[in-house]
Amino acid sequence: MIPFIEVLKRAQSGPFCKPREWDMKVIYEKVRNTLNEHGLKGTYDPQNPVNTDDGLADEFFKAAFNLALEVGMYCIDTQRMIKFSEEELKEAIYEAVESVTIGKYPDEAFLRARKPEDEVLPTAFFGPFGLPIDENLWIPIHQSTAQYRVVDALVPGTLERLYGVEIRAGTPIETLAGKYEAVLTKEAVRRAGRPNMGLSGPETSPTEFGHFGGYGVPGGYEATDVNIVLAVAELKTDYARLHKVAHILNLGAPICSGHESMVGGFPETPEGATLVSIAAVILEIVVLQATIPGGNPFDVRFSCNTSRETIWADSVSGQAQSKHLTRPLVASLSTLAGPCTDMLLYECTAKGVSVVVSGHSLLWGVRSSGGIYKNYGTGLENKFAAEVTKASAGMKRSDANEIVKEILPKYESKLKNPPKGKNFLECYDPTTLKPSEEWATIYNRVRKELIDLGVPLQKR
Amino acid sequence: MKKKSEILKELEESVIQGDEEAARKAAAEAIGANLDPVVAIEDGLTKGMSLVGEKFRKYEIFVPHVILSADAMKSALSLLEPRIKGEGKAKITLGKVVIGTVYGDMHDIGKNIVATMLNAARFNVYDVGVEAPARRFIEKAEEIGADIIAVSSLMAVTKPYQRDIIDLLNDMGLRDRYKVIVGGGAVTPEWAEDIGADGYGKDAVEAVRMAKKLVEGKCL
Repeated sequence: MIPFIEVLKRAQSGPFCKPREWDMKVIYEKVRNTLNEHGLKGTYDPQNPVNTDDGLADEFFKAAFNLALEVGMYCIDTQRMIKFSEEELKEAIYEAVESVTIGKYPDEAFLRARKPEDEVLPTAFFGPFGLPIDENLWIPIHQSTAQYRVVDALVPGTLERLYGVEIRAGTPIETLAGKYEAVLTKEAVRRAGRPNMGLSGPETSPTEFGHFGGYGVPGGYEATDVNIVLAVAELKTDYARLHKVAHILNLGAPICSGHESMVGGFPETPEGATLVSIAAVILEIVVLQATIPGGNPFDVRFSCNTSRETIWADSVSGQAQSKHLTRPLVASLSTLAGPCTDMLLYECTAKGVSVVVSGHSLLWGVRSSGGIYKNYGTGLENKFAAEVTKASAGMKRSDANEIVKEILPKYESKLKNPPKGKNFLECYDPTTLKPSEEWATIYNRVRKELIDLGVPLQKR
Repeated sequence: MKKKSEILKELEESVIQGDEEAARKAAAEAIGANLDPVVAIEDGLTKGMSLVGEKFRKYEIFVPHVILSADAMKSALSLLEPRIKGEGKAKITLGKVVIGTVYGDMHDIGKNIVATMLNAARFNVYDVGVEAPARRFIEKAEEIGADIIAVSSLMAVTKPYQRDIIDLLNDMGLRDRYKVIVGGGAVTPEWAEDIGADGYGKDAVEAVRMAKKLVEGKCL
């Protein structure tokens, strides 16, 4: 693997490119050209949201490799393109990481490299992923997910306040909040009887400060937890992200990366977003030194990744990545409906089934209600997502396609105006951590519906 | 010689296609044919841009196409605008907008889409970029005599900076001078109301609609 110091050197000395030129010439034009050259334009198949064509996935990977080679990754701060040779990129993609352990005995979880239709179980890495959460509800909301043993590791929300003081990005309060978030999350898993459960975080770190304050410090997140470095935009990085990488490398911990490749944005179409997403994963392995790379096509129209277009794009992208890389691969789940709605569970199902059969190792979520509304996260949707993803292991892509075809029409028309649902206090008892009767009834009804559709939830 | 209706159609079409060269050519033809520049802009360029906005809303075209269309429009405007005299000028520009993403937030795609759409809707847009501190928005607004300050934030821990801009405007005694619109992934209508913003845009189309509403009846 290319040393990180070399990446930093190239961030300072690579070809200069103005931001506008990057967006319109490099991304927009090159993506269009690459799709045309590889005969991939027009391959989006809305009738079959889960891809079953291995040849298509292979061609996308080939095209994405060429794109990654040609353009590299853009450093916003220096306005330079961080580029690599063919040998350097090949070396990176051939390097195998079979498994990564997170958390500690006896609560550890294993993130394993998977292939399409693999029987190896995906890791259920769930929680109120990035949702704004009140500090006084932080522990019960996180404990409500950690209490379910089907969930292997916990993804926290985002803190809005620290001892009542509003947290602001880029200030010393963010630095303090990084550790505070870790302390509260650890308390939640301790109360759930799983003190060594694997975590990710700090989530409250839009800049590098929250990360420095919360990761690798005494009482904070540990090197056995996962720290995610999220890209700002397609194939772009900046010094804030690279600071995080440097810090994680100093700690000797695995790096998890992520990005959103916008359907409707500069890559334009589902095919464009697929191509860019695969190229981003290849480049994240070298630029961000990611052990666990990942990311998603994301739908600009709705701000989610559960639309038909993004599910198709993610299935092709996941298959291309998992067929050609041997690493745990991450997808994320950004839904629009809130808790206590059947739509939220349908979104979890469509996304969960499709990414697991496509070879992803874990589905990072559940970011419910568009990630907008405070405290709109509960344990039940995370338990549900964990059950669905594990039940999908070993399923044929053709069967998954039929299931997703049935599920999508149940919520697609509501993506523009999704149901907000109910917040934690409205559908969970904060003391007993049991869902309300209404929420439990919805869960049981949708669960039965899915079993009837062929999702083998009864086995779990 | 081409009919005026043909030139108007060419102006409209050049914007729809996002063809900068064709837009400049059609604008030059409009000037050569003594076409009223206000008519050329309103019945040619703006008509085309409205259709582009509509197509974007329906997801028939994507962000890069909107940018190319806005570029084509800008290019034709650069030839037509200097020829507008007197009251016609007031009809062409709806107002001046300062736009940016708040401090601590690097996200620019949403902000760029809104800026492009505002531009296309005949607002003069001044972009202060990403990670912009409150004072940068206000300094730019003061410098160019803005009508609207449009503020984007994607994250829960960056949206308080939207309030900071309004607070700073209040503290500087400038609040009445500007309309403030907020938007972005973390922002809700309730938040906009809570911090005392004048408007909220759920997406680019809504933001433009809100901006137009806020400058309605304003004598420019």
